[in-house]
Amino acid sequence: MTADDAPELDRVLQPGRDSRPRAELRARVLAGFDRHRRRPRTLWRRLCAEAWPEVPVWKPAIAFALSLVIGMAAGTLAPNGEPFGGSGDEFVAFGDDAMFDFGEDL
Amino acid sequence: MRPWRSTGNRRHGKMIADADAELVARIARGDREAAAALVDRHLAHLLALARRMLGDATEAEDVTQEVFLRAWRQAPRWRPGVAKFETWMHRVTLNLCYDRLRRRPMPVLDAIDLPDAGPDPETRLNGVQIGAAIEAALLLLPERQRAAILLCHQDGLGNIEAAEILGVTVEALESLLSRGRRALRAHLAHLKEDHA
Repeated sequence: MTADDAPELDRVLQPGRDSRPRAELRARVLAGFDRHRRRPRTLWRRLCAEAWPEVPVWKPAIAFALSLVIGMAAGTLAPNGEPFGGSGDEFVAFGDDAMFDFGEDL
Repeated sequence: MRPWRSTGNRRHGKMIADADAELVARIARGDREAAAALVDRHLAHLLALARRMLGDATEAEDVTQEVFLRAWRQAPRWRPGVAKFETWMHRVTLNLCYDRLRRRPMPVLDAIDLPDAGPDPETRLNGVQIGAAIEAALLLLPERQRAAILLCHQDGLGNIEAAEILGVTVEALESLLSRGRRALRAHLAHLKEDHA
């Protein structure tokens, strides 16, 4: 197989070039295109699709807005000064000889 | 995989006429008919290239499917006139084949399917059998030489285009072709001896 054999190689290899692919493969490739076409284009839409796939964008948007409103309302309206779930008298006490070892001897 | 960078043409400021440019623009707009037309135009020969690079029909189908997935993603970013879309698809096909070949163990001669030899030694490795023997011998070539042979002799690409796909100079491509043909001859002689 030298340069002189090039026409022979063309003759042997070229018929394989256009052998008909399986119809199933063609369908799979085009299904890939359909999936790609349905893919959300903007970053925001992509994030929504990741967080809540297969629903219109307004649903995750409403859910996010609602949770924001509830959070802000709770932060604004909750009574100030007293920590949740107690009178505020609790504290953690250590004995006088409490020691902490930070592992200096290691 | 290295990102696609067309060599040569941009450097020389040439605009490349691309038969696929219009299809690619329509694909970018989500036109399914254009996608089907691109598939019908290129699926067969890219599949043949992958099959002969890998020697495995199923893997070749997976590679071709991936090439088209990347094509759909690439279409909106494609700048016509810089390179041919077909050249880009060839390059993606080869890169995906290289990736798969590198994950494989080295091929052994015995594992390669050889054509059934006829009963008469005189008629062995003739006609169709020569084709099958060349196909088997191709799998024994180093991947770059195999790619060069397939691009030029199977796909009938010119040296300039094949060199662009392989990311080498035309001289380097000619060297790959010449070494590839020499190695093919040696492998075929070896296969003939083994089957004699």
